[in-house]
Amino acid sequence: CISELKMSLRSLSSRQSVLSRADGSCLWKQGATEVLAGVYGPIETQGRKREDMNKADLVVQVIPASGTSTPYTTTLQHFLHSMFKGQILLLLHPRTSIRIIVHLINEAGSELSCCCNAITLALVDAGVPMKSMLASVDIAMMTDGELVADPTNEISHERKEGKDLTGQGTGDSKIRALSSFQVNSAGKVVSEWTHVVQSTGSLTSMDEDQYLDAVAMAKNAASKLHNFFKLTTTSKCLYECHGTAF
Amino acid sequence: MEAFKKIYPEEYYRKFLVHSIRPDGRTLTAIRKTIVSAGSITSAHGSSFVKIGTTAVVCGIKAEVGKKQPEGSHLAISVELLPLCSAEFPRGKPSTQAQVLSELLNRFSEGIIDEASFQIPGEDLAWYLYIDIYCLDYNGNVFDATLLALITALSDVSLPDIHINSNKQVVASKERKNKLTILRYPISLTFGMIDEYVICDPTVEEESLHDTTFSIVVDSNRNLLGVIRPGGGGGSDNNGVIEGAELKTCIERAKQRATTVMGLVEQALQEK
Repeated sequence: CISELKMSLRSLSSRQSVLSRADGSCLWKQGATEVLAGVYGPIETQGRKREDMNKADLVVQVIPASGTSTPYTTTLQHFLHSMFKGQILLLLHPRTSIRIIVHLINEAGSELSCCCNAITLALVDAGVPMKSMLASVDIAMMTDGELVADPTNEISHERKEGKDLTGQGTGDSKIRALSSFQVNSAGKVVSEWTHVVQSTGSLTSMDEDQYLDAVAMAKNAASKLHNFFKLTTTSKCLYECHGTAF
Repeated sequence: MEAFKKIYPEEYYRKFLVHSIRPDGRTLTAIRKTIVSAGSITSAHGSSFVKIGTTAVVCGIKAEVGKKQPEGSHLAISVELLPLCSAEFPRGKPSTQAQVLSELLNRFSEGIIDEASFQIPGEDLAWYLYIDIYCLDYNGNVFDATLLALITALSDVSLPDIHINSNKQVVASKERKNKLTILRYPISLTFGMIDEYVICDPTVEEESLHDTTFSIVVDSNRNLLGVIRPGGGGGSDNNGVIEGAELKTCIERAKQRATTVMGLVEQALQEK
């Protein structure tokens, strides 16, 4: 089912059950960044070695837009694996494997967040039991104190010159730190990846108060994303209901 | 007792945590003895050896001269978790963990060295540093050890003077006395979480029992540089969650650790 919604985040678009062979899938767009997640599972493990007597074996693979895997995509894999290991109820499906494959179709900023959101909806589409849905949002902390949710590549990779984003600032604002927060349905930040972004010629560091504001903003944005998840999953059910009524 | 530890390792561990102590006798916030030494590899331009408890990491830096590029980093960091360090790393393709460590170290080393240190005066050439970090003994908290080994080795780097002779060959002076200008020293502190306990500097056994592990990176001037918290497994809803006052306490601990560690680094460079 297709859903579109405009927020203070970039415009969101989600489409589930796009892959015919996967148990669940989701094509997720945030602005220009597009990600396709497919979920297979619970299915047989790949080899006896990976079979765990007590719980399902979670495998996550991230495929970049072009080229083969790099340390960056491996790091994304590692993060996504840790995040979802804590949310999927692996103990309910022992000796099986749950495989998540994410394909980065267009990398235009906030990739980790897009992957996380796409995976959440793909898991719901597949009917994999989870403790909670994870909504992820990237926040850019700028040198003039401003916070930008869901930044594009232009903002997060802007190092050499300052850029005025809102048209109201002094025009000198550069990114000082980039954060990616994952928030569960209870509003708790279960994981994050925060790091300073160095600009050439000057040494930036994080302002801790700005960081705490960023956490609060992330929770706010995440609750909007959770509402969007509800919308997209309910409209999918409605679509199916209408289908059988004919 | 041994049987209980084997069959119920988590319960065994919890019995210690309830009394605010760990199986190796440390309190929940105690960090293992850290040893830092520099300059042990004379053939390298810079080197270091770091031990946190029994976790041992060695770093070697080889500098090469190349054509000046307008963009791009002058550092190429590669972390290898050798089969030597633990049974869990077989021979072959670099493990996920090694790649993640390489990626994280590359990110936190951006901009820490003054660009001018890489320039070779009078020529269209620049220095490029190839940094190899090897874990020799894997007993938990490898991220802290590798980052510490990196900054120590960078502080140890001495480069020769370079000029191009009449045969268009690159000639290096015998003496190496040019040091890098290091603008920032990133230092990390890693924590593990299980139930409601937050535990500093976990060993490899503790890491396998913990719900999640997170690291806080600061610099020697008490600035916050990053929080890496991948989240993780476990029973309760609050797993991997740390916020507000608790997070502030952890950041404070990381800053204290940074001050202690800088002292060790400076001592290592003097003793060389």
